[in-house]
Amino acid sequence: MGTYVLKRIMTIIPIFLIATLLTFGMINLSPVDPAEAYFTAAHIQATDEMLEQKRHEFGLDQPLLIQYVNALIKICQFDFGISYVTNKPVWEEITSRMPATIQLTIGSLLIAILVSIPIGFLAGMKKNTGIDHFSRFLSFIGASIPSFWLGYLFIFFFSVKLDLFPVEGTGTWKHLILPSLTLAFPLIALYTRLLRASVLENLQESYVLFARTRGIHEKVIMGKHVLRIAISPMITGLGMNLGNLMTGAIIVEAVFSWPGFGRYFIDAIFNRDVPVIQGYVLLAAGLFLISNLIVDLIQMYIDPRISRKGRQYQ
Amino acid sequence: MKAKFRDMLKSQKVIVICSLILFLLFLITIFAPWIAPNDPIAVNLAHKLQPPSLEYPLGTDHLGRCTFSRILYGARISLGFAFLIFISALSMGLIIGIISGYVGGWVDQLLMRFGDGLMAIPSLLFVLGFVGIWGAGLKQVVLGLILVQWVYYARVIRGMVLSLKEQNYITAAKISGSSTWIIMKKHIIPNVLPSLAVMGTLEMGWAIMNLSSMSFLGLGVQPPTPEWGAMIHEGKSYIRTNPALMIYPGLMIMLVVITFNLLGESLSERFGVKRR
Repeated sequence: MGTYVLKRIMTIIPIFLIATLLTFGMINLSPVDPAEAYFTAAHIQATDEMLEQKRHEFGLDQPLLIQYVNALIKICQFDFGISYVTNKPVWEEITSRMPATIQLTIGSLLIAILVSIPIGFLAGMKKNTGIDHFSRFLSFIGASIPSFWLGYLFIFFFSVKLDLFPVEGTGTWKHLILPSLTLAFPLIALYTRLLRASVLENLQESYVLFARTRGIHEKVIMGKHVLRIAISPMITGLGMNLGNLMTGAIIVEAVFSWPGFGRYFIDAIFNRDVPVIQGYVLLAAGLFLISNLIVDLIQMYIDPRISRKGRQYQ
Repeated sequence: MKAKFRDMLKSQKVIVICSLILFLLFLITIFAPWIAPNDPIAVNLAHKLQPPSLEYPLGTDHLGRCTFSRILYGARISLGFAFLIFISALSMGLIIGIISGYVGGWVDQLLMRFGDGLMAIPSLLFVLGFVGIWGAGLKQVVLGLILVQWVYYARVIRGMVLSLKEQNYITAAKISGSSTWIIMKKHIIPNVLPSLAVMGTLEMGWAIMNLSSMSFLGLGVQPPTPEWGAMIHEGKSYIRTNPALMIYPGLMIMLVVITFNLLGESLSERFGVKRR
């Protein structure tokens, strides 16, 4: 088991290296000169001399390979450079705004899990009944509705018409509900669908038949055996979706004026604040890889067929 | 047997209805200039924020532009560019996937590891980063969406090519002296195309949704060009007084994406194609 974990960790490193190479290449291929971008973002009229000095400061006069290696060493120390606009380290900017974004994502994950597990599980157990049709309807709508539009619909119905929740801003739990719900909606659709399919698939497995012939109560079979294994694709989905959640949060934050990292990122795009953009993209890639790793490990723990412990009984 | 037949008819029904809706949309995109009652970008401040009337079927926006005409023209942008993204990503994926699967070895390793690195970055975030570095605009958004999308096609195609390569008729073709190019053209591409069509239907919905998201953020289509996401962006300030301004374009996005998703789903069920 230890070697499996180690091997799994080792696969991440080359993928992350390629991701850094990609962003590095993207920046170097672009027509933008970082030195010029720096002065434009800082609203400074630069002379040729100043540009030359800035280029030297950024290390742009060195060979590409050395530039890349230097950038890589810095990334490993969580040094993503300095924001052109605010002149503060990018890492500081990210970490100071992250709590609000994390709050939002955790809220939406909670909602998504609480809603989709019962619906997806029941839908799989009772195929072609009312709840099943409802779950299919939900997963279609959820996958097809643009989240920014959904956000405004929520604002329109719950804030403007019913006056139940504040339109935007942060502070109380009430502020968190609408943004989290908006962000959770596509996740609910996905997880419900995954769980339903997985329950249906597992009901065909021989272990269910075996449990039934042993006379084990249906509730025990469902609750103890099927749910435990059927939930596994959903956990994979959770890991795969963390990246989408990070981008989804950017849009939802723009809709609800949520003071997280997303809004700052949009500003960075308009200002062509390259270090901020690069930093966040790489952070997202790193988080995506690590969350996938964690998901794999959790799955190994939950599903006795993967872990060594289960294998002994086979 | 009877139930199976009824099931088939039912799934056919979905396919037929969705295809009809898409055909209708296709007609709208072609004939928008003739159907639209007004010029979609003509500003008329005297007629701003009007309720629906005979002249303006869905009312007007804050600049007095006809919402109905803008939605019709918006279909051109959304569907047209989504199709462009789909075709370009597909061609790129087809070429790279076939090379990777057929040639194998280090070429395959290199291309697939490159794809893994690309897939580690969340796709919309990659597009945002791409636009951030190369500047905002429709061209950059479309290019960014193509650049993240091809890798999914390439992976699926590579997998199909790998399994096709083991088939006896490919070996037979090789033995009888067919060139690699002929084998590709005559045997491999026709075999992978049906699955790709199904995948593409699902991807069209994805492309439309993301294109409008980018326009909503103000990074894609620039005003005054009518586009559904950009229309929501412009209409959001009037959510209290004129919610219709942002409701109609959103409904259109949802309708189109649902249609593509339903069609793709039904097709993949019918032809037994796995989703990615």
